[in-house]
Amino acid sequence: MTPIHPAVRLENDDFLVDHELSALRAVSLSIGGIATFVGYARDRSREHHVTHLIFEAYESMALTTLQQLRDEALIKFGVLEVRIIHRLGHIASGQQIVFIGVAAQHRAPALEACAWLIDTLKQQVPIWKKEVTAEGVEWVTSHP
Amino acid sequence: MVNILLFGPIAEKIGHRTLEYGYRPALKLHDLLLKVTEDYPQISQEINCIAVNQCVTKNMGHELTDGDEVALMSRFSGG
Repeated sequence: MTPIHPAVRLENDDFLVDHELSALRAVSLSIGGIATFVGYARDRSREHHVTHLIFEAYESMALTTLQQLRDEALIKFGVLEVRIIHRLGHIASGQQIVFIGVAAQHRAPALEACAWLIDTLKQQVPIWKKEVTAEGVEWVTSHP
Repeated sequence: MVNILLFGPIAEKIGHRTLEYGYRPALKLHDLLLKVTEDYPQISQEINCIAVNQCVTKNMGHELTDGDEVALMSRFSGG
């Protein structure tokens, strides 16, 4: 049996989307749909080949903020469950960075909550990304 | 003592992840920020967000307490 990890996590290790979906589905038989967002490390940025990314965070505040976003999403959108994972440390191009999963009775609130969560995460959670390319390293200061 | 936490590009520009500044009664966030940016002018344009004890604040008149933890943060880029 797969262990159920906390619903909100910052971790260096990769995550398994199937495990997160199973954890979401286990919450309620009233779930009618699950919306997910999975962010990946691109291999190109501003015409440069990116070998990997390095993420760092103000970990205690980032985790608290993510938990607050989860709590707010549950109320604001009336969804049944939310899981959020953000990886830290070195992430090679092509690897997963972030997972957001929202389970709801209907698709509209699930999709809306998922979009709101990733947009708000980018604006409010103290995490920083550095791109490593053949030309050097650079902190990313925008979040398209 | 007021503990200052630095991350990402700000930490890299200064070469430290933490700084300590002496506390005095009625010390305001504005006073602390002025002192830090006098000592490290290279980060003055980088600071986009400040948190005191993990709570984001824009109130530069916020009166600090001995032992407070102040995070000086650049624009976030997670996700």
